[in-house]
Amino acid sequence: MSYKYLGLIALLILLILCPLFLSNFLMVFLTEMLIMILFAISFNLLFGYTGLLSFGHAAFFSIGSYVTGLVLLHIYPSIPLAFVIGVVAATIAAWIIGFFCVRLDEIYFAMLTLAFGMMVHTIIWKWDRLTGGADGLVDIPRPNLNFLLFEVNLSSINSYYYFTLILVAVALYVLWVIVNSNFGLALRAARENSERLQFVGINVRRYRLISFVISGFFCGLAGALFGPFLKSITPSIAFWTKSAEPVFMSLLGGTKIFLAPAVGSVIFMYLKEIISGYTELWMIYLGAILIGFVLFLPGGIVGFLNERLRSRRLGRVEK
Amino acid sequence: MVKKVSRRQFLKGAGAIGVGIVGGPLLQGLTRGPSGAWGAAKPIKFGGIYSLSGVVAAWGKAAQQGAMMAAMEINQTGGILKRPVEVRFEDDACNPEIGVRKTRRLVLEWGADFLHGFNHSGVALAAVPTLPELKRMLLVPCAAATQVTTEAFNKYVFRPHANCYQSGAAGAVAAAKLPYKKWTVIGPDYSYGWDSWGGFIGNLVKRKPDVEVMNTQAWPKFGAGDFTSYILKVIEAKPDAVYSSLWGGDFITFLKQAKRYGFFEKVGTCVTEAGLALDAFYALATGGGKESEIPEGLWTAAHGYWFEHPKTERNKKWVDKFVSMYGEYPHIVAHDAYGIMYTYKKAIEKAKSIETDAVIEVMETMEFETPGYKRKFRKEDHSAFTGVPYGRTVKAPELTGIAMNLVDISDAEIIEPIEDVLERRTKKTPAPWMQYVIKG
Amino acid sequence: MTFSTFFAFFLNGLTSAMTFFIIASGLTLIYGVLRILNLAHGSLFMVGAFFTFQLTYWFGNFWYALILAPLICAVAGVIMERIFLRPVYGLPIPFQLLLTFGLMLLIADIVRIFWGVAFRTATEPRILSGTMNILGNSYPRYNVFVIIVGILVGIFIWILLTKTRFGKMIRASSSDREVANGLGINVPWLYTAVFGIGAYLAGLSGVLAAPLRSIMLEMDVHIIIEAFAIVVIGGLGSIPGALIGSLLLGQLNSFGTLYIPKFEMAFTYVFMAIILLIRPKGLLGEEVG
Repeated sequence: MSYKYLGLIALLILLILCPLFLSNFLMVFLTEMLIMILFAISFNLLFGYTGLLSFGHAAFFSIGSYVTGLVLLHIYPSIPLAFVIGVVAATIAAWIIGFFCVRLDEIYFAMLTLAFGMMVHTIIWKWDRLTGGADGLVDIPRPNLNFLLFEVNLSSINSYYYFTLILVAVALYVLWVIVNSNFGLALRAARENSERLQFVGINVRRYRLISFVISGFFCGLAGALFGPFLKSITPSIAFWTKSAEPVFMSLLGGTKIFLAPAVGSVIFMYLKEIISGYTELWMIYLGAILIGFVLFLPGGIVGFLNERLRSRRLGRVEK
Repeated sequence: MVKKVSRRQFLKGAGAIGVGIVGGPLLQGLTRGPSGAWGAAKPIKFGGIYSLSGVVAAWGKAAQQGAMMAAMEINQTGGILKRPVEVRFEDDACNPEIGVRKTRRLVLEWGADFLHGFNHSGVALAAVPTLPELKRMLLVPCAAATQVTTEAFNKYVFRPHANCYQSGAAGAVAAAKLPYKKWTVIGPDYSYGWDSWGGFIGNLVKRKPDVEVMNTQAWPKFGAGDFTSYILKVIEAKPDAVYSSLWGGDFITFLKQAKRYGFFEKVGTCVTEAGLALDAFYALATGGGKESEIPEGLWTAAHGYWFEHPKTERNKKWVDKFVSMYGEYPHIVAHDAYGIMYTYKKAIEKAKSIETDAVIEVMETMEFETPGYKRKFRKEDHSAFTGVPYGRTVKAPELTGIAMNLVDISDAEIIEPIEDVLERRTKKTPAPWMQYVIKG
Repeated sequence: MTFSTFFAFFLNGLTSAMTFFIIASGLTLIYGVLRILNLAHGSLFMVGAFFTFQLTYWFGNFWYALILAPLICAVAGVIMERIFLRPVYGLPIPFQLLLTFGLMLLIADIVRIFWGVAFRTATEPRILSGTMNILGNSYPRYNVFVIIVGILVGIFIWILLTKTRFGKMIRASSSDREVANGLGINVPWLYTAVFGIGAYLAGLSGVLAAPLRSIMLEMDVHIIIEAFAIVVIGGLGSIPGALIGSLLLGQLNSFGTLYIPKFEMAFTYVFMAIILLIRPKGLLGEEVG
């Protein structure tokens, strides 16, 4: 147990010290990776912990992103205000969409989330007076953050990195608390055997909806961070392939352990961003890795390592 | 006399465009700059971001051709400030998000000193806001939406190429002489598509008040593979004439599909500012290059340059050299990208420095040249004082089956007054011609 | 609007519907028997289209493409099934999706290696080019050809499933795998055969669609979503359902441009959602055939 905490603290210190020795390019990469880690882990609350596979989670990410961007551009350039409104919008959307989706199970749930996700994509794309259509929102500002008595300049790469790091760390901590609470326990029970849980008097549907909404909340936060990061966003962040990303990051890393999807995110982002610098054919590598994982490591990397460590600790146990 | 491209060369060119570009990395390798020959001189790095894949890949490839040709020439004649030129290209895949990433990568990872780019206006508009944080200049040879130099403007962006207002106004000059009253549009549903139409019809309405802008318009998405329902919709509306802001592969596909429905017999004429650029001529040539699927009598500006025009000695020599280097005629983007490298050279040498601010200061009042034209930047919005040629398609079996009969329309009549530009920029209001974009 | 114009729009919708139907029937057949939702189905469509371009470019003959390309796709499908999919039968759906997504990426990049990144076009054969006069409007002959082929494919599938022994085996395996096994049906071989047929259909759809539109990378991610929507609306595993879904989507694409240009794309997903909420098994249920 204590090893894990030590490891986390070491990681945190490393992340804080990064800007000192990493290039600007890598800092930009790292910022985006933190955002995707939040996206994947929030998604995994619904997937790994509640047992529901959503193929439309980009809807909440993109709503968080667009609403935040619109507030910054047209209403008032204040980061706290924009973030709050953006996340609230994503949460409301999650409530509405979740309300319908949790009535279904398994593959139908996945298909319905896919349908809603693509609906959101279409609306974002076609409502061009508001969203800029195919060109999207452009030149999203990054105004200084007025926090307590300080004014923080967010316009540099490193300052936005720290901002992202703090928000993501806090968000992940909150998620961690939720996952380990009684509520989280009930979720996991519902995942295993929802019928039995209903006999005990727990309204499984309500729990699922709450999980859906929480997941949407944090995905919205990830989206909110994304807009000012990239300074422009387009409807492609709502397309189904974006929804597929957290699914695969979670599966790659492992869905049963809280931080595992982060590992999947690192692998995924590395392939997408770094490898694509060397060759335009990065998809072959990603495709091969995904296939390899399903065939050989269905528990994800972290799941696999965890098994190994556990069997070693338990002494000579055959696999 | 422009050096004729032999049939073999033509087919090779058509094949080259038809079969697609040689991988980016290969071209990158060719432009590393002469090694060792310059001693320890550190190269000046020019990063180019273009649409090298997808529907308008031919346009991105053209940019590479032009920029590389110029880079090689510049290196052969001593470089810039006695330093060699190094070029590298990245593909934005017509995706604004990718465009932003690649722009950042070129500057932060590769260390680009200067940037040029963008075919697709949507990508340009997304990338321009990142320039101040990167502190790099961007010269735009192709993307034409006016917002780049109005609402989205910052001091780092320069456009040596006509914008939608200018080309629209030129088109209006030509169209005002035609007898058509009811106009509609089929264009891609994004900034350039709207702007190109708006610039055209907004100016036409001013010149010819009896023109009627129809409510039924067709706005397929950029890169849509299938235009048939839109084609039927336009035919059904029975316009006198149609404007099309489709370009690249979209226009090529549109033309082929439209012919199946007898589109061009049913409308008076079709005006397209960029749809009939050289890539379309090559793609739609048939019969070994002697005929074309493109009907006669269509109006176009080839997005600002057609290799046969102007008939100056300088232009002809350049085209001949281009043909001997690449085996095909130069596309407008090749022409402008070539010009950009020399524009940079002139400004850097005049400023005697590669400091961004110093070069900006020199460039904003500078005259510059492309193989076909002499132009000048306007200080307030870094757009170019430039004419735009417009003309009709005519049969030309010795070229690409069909070619163009161009007439230059001078800049005096077509450049947008700077007061209007500045007003829009400060008030952040949409352009007045956007009222003509009707989506139904 | 005149009736002849209306009819032209209708025929357009029918043409899209037929290309959709062919690929969707393949997808739904595979799901019905193998219970696999194949994300790489769209990739095979794309491969079929690119091969069409290539074969017409080399030989100038569309018919070679029509015959060869779907066969190539069928072979690719069989290889996919034997090597990659066989180990994952029985794994939960997320893993299937992950695997087929990986295959989708793989195929996309392989296509990129061979054909580069520019967009391509394929021309229809000489006999079918040009227009014919339908109710006073000039209408492309090739579209009519596609409609006819679509109908023929539908008839062929119907005959296959209802009148042949093979069809009976398929229907048996889709409703109850264990019983089918007990009856002595060689289920693994059957699976491969069905997957091959599904792949063939995806490739065929790609061939037919090739002259109708531009051929590009990213065709795969767009067609697969439309195919999914159709299959969900019609009913997972139901061929007649795929037909209805295709007709719906095809006409929506056609008339939607005219009447609801703003949000016609959204209607597909709205239908999908409504069906899932009211009748999740789709309009025509879950049996194959």
